[in-house]
Amino acid sequence: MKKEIQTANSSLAVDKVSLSFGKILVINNVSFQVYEGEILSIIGPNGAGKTSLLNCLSGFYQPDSGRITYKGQEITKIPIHRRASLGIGRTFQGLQLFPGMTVINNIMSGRHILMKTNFLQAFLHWPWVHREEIAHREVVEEIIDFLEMEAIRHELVGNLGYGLRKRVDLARALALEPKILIMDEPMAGMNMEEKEDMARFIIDIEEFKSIPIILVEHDMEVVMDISNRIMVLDWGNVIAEGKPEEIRTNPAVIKAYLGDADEEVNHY
Amino acid sequence: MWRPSGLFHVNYSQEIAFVQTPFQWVMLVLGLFVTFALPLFIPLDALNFFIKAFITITAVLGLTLLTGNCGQISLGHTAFMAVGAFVGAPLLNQGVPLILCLIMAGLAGGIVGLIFGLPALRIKGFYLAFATLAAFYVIRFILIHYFGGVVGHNVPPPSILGFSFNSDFRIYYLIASTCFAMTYFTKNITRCKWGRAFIAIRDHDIAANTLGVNVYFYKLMAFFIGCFYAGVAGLVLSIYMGWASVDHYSLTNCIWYLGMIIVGGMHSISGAYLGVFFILGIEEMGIVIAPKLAELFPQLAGSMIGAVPIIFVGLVLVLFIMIEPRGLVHRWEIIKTSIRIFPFSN
Amino acid sequence: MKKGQEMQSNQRPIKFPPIEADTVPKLLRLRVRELGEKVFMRRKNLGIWQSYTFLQVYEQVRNICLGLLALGLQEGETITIIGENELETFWTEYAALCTRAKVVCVYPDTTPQELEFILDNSETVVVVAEDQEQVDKTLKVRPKLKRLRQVIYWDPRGMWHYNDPILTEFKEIQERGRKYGQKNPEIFNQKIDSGQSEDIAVLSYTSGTTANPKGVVMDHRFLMDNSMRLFANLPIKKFTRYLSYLSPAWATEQWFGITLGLLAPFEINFPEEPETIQSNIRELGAGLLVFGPRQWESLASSVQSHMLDAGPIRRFFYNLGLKVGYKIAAGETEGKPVNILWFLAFPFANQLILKPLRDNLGLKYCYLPISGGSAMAPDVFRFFHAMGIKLRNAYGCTEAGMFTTHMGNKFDLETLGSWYVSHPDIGPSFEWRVTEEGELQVRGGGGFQGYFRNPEATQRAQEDGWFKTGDAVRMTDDGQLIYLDRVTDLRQLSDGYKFPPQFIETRLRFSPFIKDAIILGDTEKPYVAALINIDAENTGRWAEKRGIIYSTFPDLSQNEGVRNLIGQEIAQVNHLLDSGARVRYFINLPKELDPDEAELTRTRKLRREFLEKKYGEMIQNIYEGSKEFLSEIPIKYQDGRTAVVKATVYINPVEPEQHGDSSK
Repeated sequence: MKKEIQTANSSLAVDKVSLSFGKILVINNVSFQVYEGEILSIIGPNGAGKTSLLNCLSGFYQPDSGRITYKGQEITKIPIHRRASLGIGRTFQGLQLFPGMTVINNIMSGRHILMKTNFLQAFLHWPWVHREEIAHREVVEEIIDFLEMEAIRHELVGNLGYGLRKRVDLARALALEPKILIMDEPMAGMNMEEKEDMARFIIDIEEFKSIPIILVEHDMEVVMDISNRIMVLDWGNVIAEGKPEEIRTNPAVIKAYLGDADEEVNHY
Repeated sequence: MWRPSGLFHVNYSQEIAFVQTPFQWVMLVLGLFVTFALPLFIPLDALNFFIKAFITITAVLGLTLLTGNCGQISLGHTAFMAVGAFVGAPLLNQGVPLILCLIMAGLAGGIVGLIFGLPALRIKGFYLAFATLAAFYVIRFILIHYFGGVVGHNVPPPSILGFSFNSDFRIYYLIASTCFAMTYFTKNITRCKWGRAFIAIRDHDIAANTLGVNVYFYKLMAFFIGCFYAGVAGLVLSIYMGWASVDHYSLTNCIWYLGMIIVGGMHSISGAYLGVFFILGIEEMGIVIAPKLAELFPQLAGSMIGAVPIIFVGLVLVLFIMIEPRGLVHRWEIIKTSIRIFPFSN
Repeated sequence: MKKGQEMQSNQRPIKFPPIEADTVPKLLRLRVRELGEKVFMRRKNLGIWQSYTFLQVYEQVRNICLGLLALGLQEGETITIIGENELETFWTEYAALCTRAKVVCVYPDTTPQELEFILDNSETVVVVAEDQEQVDKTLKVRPKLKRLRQVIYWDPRGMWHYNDPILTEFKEIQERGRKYGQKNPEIFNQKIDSGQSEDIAVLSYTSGTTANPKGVVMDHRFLMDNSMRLFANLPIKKFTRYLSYLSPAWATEQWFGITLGLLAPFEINFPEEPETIQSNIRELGAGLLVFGPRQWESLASSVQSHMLDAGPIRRFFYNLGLKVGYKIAAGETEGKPVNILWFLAFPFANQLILKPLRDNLGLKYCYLPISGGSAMAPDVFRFFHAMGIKLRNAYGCTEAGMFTTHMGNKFDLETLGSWYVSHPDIGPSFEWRVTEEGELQVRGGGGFQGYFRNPEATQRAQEDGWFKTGDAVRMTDDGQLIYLDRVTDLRQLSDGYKFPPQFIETRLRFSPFIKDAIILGDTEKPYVAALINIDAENTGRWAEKRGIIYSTFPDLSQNEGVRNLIGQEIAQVNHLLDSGARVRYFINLPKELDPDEAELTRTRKLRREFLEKKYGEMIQNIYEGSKEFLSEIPIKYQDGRTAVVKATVYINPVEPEQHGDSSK
């Protein structure tokens, strides 16, 4: 059920971005676009620079050269915490959930930028903060419903299994109402059933919220199945880019990566 | 999250309320009643213990927010208390209304706290601890040399609408009320976006940044709010003592306060209450037992006798860090659960 | 022919309320007029419970009914509902009954093949499905179903881009109904008035353990009859807080939830998700709970395994409290003499141990716990009674309704209880008899109406106007019923010895370490043997406590220590049997039994014929006297891929008991 992507609507554009750590060139002159309504997967062997690229998009690293534009606005130098207000949502390879909080509170912390009360109102709680908490709780409950997490809403995230924690991470990213979602290896370490669930959620998110999704993933089956386009990185360079059918048969890709695709790489 | 059987919610307001069951309401009202009825039943010495406890809780709550929730170590807390006292006392002497003095004292503590919290934007943990230690000495120096810190200021008994707090008995009520008000504010801060932002910064500040939390801003606000509490507590202490002097705000207490939140439980309000009462209790016990111990161990007699309570407290701190670093609150939660699910076990 | 006992059911002085409404829609309307503003239904959604009063429910039902009429649904046509227990499921059923259509409810995890059969056999014209999964299933089997006109769904998630003309959203139907009602304000009442008690209300498809499912016809009179039986014979309280989690595809929920829910009436609550049912029960403090024996057994073993984990002091108090409970319960339920000391100890035991236990299980407010569906071992009942949970058995069948239940405070746990009395105004009085072969037959009350479009099966099920239950039973002197086994399942060994395999299986399942047991033995075999499906959770915990290392289920099941454990459990059950019926050998299956593999029905009943074929080689090896055997079992993953589980499986002898022991 993959639809044709309107190439007229570019959401995110990366233009000739390079990044080095000391003498090591991690990203070399990478350029690509992400269009509205598509799922773009970025694949490549370990060390290809995928996570570093995502970190540039999030603002953890400043590229040495090149520009990143989002919805027409250049964001290369914008500080990390302001990118959330622009609508850039992110999930992490290593989860980075807040262990002392329950699932609900973790997701509520994603609502941060949408909550407008100041700290004087916070001291008093009634009536402004109380109303705000309830209003945002309703939205969080809808996300919980969407990601089927009702049974665990009051659990401390520290007590949850890995697959469920990844779902909480996704829920938290969705809570800030992103206009583009960046996911770093969402399926890593999951079993078959969990991967199916996650794939279904990703497709549902893309269909229901109509936001583009950038996906870094190692599971080839999933990538081929749900992506509209795939971009392949190797040693910091883009070596191929196109539809899944094209990538599957691209000799350079096969040589660099798909050659050992039978071995499933599990990250924790 | 344990709820009794048969309790279900029909709207979010009920669901997020922090008093859920009739039993909890009863406990809350009982607690308030006992607190306010206490002075009628106990001797003056005991009353002083409670006054000291409530003042300490007021200060320590700030530390719960700053260190427990936001993860920023501060070894200079009493310095900010001193700032509050030294700003509030002169105002009180000028006849400024009490509530306003308290607020000004808090603001003063908060602003100074914010300034000396700036290093937190760059450094963490051990290094931040030293920076705040340095802050303690700098502030102390400034207060002594520019604000008459050693001699201090006389603080007259304050009054509200003609009612003068001129006895320990009456001061108890002032202090207990202030403490409860500050507790209420703390509870409110922890259950809204500010509380969650603080915890987010403590746990994973990069993820917090990604979610739109301006970490620099919130760290500074944590210092501001934490030291606001210190300022208020500082002024209240000087009212109780009758005069403001830097000698009331010692380095030892800075460390003790941190110890109190460790012993009680760093992340919660109950932890602050439990930790303060427990440590002060141990200290009292040390004071009472000291003469008897001195008879057994002559080395402790004379000027060393003052060391006994300190040794007790230190011992307790070390024991807790080794055995129960999550504090009394954690133990209490385990015990509560254990009782609730009896005869099953956790 | 056969001579059997023909007895009138014991006429106990039971007070029946007058019949105020003879169809479900009329009953609904009556309750709405009486109780308008009272809360009738609730559902947990988005974390909080949203309630609907009788009037609000009536409004919803009205709109759906009129919407269906506007869609062209005719009287007597069939509508099928597939979904979890939700408000929409019940509203749709009530609405369809108001239009005088027939309702079929289907289990949400029905396979496409089964669904196709049911939709075809029932002549369904409209399907009301919950979500994308059910809609996809229906559309998949649509090609052969020429009568199917409409598919309605209420959860639109995932279907935003579907544009098949046969699909309509539930909300739209309600809207159309609302408008229709504005133009024709009287039609809803007229429709309800025109309903007759002989109208077919529900077709309930029994999950066949052998052939294709059969649709049992139930008219309104039948539904009323059964709910009246329950209402008058059991201590049902008005406004009982009820959680609807049993699928209405099972007749039990049609009687308890749909009909008794209106009659009593209940406060009907719907769980948030199937995974939250247990916590919802506790949250609400449900008053009436019906579970199959499997669930009660697993609840019992969860208590036991929790106590295995608890410290010695807790175990001591638990055992003490339970002992007091056992004594008091034995006195109350079974009439055994009780020393005054136990009575004195009881308040303490109750407050300190038994009440907290009930609370832990979420049964604090449960005043009527019922076990229904098939037989359960008396020891399980005793265990719950000791905790203060007065569990009762209820026995009946889809075709002929509710037969017996343990009534009152004193009853015989070995039996299935005493006979229900049916409402005198509903039909001839409900009667039973036992044939010479020991088969139970019934007639009267609402009566067996036959299987839909299946005259052969309908005829085969009856004899001289009596319905043949196919159950082998024994009657006690005071008219209580003991269930032995299905008549066809009583088995003969090669020496002619007849034994009750289900009886043995039930007893084995009482062990916390055994999840399922298949008893083997037939006219070609000289002794009884068993295939055991160990309970992975409890056995795993047991193994970990003893430092036994294992990695997979096959590993655990074939471990020597585990095999010895199971052998001991079997030996304990053998204790109760005649020497001819004792289990001599057993195998721990290297893979769990699974309804998705068609090894069990959805209610977890064994599909014996299929199993005996699938595990044929394993069974052969037992009776050949092998010690071990390399088994290869084909399995199917959820995505359709197949694989083979290979494992070396050991055949274990059971320690022979000393002879001369008393046996049942």
